Amino acid sequence: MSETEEDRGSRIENKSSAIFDLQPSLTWPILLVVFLALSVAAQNWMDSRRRAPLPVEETLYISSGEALKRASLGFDGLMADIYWIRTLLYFGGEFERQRDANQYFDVSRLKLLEPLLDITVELDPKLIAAYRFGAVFLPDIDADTAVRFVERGIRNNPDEWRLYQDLGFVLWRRNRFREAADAYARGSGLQGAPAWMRTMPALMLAKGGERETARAMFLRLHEESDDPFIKQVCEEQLILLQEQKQRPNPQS
Amino acid sequence: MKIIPIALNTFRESARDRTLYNLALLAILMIVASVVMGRIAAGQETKIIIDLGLSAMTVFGVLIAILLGIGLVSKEIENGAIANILSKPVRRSEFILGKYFGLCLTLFASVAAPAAAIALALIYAQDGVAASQLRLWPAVWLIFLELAVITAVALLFSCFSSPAMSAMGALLIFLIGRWSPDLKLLAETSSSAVAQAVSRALYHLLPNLANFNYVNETARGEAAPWRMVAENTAYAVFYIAAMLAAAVLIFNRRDFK
Repeated sequence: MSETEEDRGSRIENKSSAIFDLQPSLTWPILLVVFLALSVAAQNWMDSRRRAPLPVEETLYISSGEALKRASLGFDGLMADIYWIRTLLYFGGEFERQRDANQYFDVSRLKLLEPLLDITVELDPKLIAAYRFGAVFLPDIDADTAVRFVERGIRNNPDEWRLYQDLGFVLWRRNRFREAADAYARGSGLQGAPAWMRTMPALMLAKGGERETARAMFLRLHEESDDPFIKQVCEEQLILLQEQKQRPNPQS
Repeated sequence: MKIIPIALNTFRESARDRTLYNLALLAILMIVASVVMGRIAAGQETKIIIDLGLSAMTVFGVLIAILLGIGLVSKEIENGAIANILSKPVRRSEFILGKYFGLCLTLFASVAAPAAAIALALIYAQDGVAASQLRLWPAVWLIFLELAVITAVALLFSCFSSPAMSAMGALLIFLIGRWSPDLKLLAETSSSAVAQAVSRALYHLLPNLANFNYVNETARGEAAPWRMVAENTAYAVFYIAAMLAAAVLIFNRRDFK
């Protein structure tokens, strides 16, 4: 159907009156940039006013790893990754929060750490990093839970010598030197275990409570770990031990 | 201005869509279920009704926004009606804006119905009307704003992509938009300068839908502060305007011959 004179006239009139069509090639890009800039400014304004959030405690909505595993529809590996990241974000967030409040970092206040780690390894029982993380930080919350957690890791990954090292470490921190020696002895026979693992049982039994043993323990852990949080803890402990060594003994 | 007739026509068209009724019905069923679940969770009835009700409203609202939003333009292109519409004295910008506001009307109705159902559920659970029930409405308004933003994004996709790709794109934007605070956190904590720059750019370019989520606070008994609602309304208006400008820009360059 051809366009009538009236339609054409109406279109010309509309075009001439519309502010949007004064420069059709430029108007909409300019509007796009202007409104996007305004939305960025509005977001920044809201962010700047949102600096001090209400201290709402984090909540774990689904506390059963088994339930999550079923709900993940076979994507349990991906779900485990998500929970592992959430664990690290929770840990890092709490670390930052306590540091901002000029507090000494107190791991025992991280009530969600254990359930988060528990869910993570329930979803992926082979996630060694999670067990190793738990071995270092869970003892500050509950030592027996930490031992059970690492033992669970060993049951799920019996060939992973690092977990025996971690179990030995947790037990050593509880002054359970004989059990620690046993853990090191079991781990030292596994494929890939370094030579120093074989010296640990004797060290545990002979000098379990000595400062030099502590130094060796943290040094080994620092060398073997890829986790920045674990490395940081080891470095702090090594500095502390060095300071104690340099301090004059009041009894001498 | 042909925007209003196009908007009203779009509203009438989408109101005839059976998807809308099915999803709205599902949302209302969820709200009824929340009353039952609230009875089971002793002492937490109000919290569960608001939590489940507003969450169901959001999820089904997002589905409505995406499913109807992606078809706004692409359907007209596929059935050839676009050439007929544009042969009339209707500017392309008016067509896009009319379509968008028409769907917003539909969304408003699809939010208002479940919101009324939640209000009734609260009246039933609390044995009468209470002032605390008013805190529901700012949260409902924020949900409507979120849906309006998603519709604008879906409409933008609809201008240059197939319906399936548009749906996927809009859904992804919704998910990333909900995780927007994590993008900001990544930008602030990453040790890589590239990751920081990319995260910051994405944080500002993609809609921050977490702004509009006040469900948890409302369920806990906090009313959204009016200032926060006003700021979020301004943010939504700016972002929607930017998306519509981009949609018109793309639509103006398309050839339908």
